[in-house]
Amino acid sequence: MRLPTLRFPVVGLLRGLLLVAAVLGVLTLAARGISPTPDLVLVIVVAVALRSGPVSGAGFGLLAGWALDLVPPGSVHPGLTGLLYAAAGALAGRWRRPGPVGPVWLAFVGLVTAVATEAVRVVADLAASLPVDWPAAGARTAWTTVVAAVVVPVVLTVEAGLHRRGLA
Amino acid sequence: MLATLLVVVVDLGGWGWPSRLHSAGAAVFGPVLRWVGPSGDDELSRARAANVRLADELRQARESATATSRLSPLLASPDLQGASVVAARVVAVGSPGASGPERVTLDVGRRDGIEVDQPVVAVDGLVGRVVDVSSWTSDVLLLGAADLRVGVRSGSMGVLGMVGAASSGAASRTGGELTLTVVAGGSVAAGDALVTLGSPGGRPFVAGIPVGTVARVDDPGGTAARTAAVRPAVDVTELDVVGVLRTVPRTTPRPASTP
Repeated sequence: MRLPTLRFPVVGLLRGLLLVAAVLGVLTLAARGISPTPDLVLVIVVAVALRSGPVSGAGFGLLAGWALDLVPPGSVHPGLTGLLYAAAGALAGRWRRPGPVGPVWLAFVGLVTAVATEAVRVVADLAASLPVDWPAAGARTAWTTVVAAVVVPVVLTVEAGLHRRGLA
Repeated sequence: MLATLLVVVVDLGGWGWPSRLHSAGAAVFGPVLRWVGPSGDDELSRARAANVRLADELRQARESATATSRLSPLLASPDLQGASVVAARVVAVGSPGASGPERVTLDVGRRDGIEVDQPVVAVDGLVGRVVDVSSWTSDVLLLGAADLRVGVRSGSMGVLGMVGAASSGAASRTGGELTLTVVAGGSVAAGDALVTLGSPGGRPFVAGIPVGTVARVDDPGGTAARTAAVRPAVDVTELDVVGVLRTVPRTTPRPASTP
């Protein structure tokens, strides 16, 4: 008698662990005096969106944004970060390409998504007449792009390997 | 997505219940952050905590001396009587907006006697006020956040005003600067020191905490309100050890002065 094969959602588990690590990293790195910190959560959202497309990217972005909204200290207005990262996931997912893609393309998608996300923050703060910290915003965008160029290919490679083994 | 939109609309509409989500998040993730965040169990941290306590004692002594010299004993406010300082460490900094972080999490909570609306200070001055408390952690709204405005006295004349992050009109601000709006008829000059005006019961702010220094006065440009750029006393992007002032609401009548 042949036992049914159990398909454990390893990719889902991997994405969950990456998200938890990214959220805790973003929140605690600044408390350790590392500033400006790269947007690690956005990097993971970009990786998932490039792997699974705009709809899954938007859904994962919404989940990731809600995590940042709820894990202390959270955000002043819960839900806004979720909507921002959902839009970022949908944006990055539109650049999904079938088959292997080069690191330059991945870095470009990371750059565009990081710039677009930071631009929304800048416009929101300018609309509220808040002073924009331009050097910090620029450094955060640059750091996020660099980290995305390094981390996204690794995540995509690991997920592709899990998919080939039937663990996706 | 629709549920998120609904939460945002309800929150921005001022109904308030979405903010309770913070309490749920703090109850679940607060202990994790205390474990993952930087620990304060070293000599440097203990020295910084002692500095915060000493700075607050000095501030209280100065405030008491100033009040005594000006309007003694009428302004010998009992707000500070019974107050104590709880040293705390910043274990998490909220995801920053373009103007910087707005919230941080401290490793002290309800079990340490922390309550909502208690003021938070560093050695150099005001940091913000407590807005959410869980058993083991508390969240602080930082000076410079869009939703925080502080009543202040400025200069030797004690001109009254409000300090907040938002600037008005064409006034330019660099990152981290605040805006002082002076009450009608008042005037300020570059270099004037700003201290908190104080609140009833010492919540959210006790009187006399340094807030910042006037960097430059804005050109009025036909507007009625006189405004100025303020350099904050504390750089909220480099917080480490801070102190939460456990103020005790006044329960006794203020003594009347006699001629």
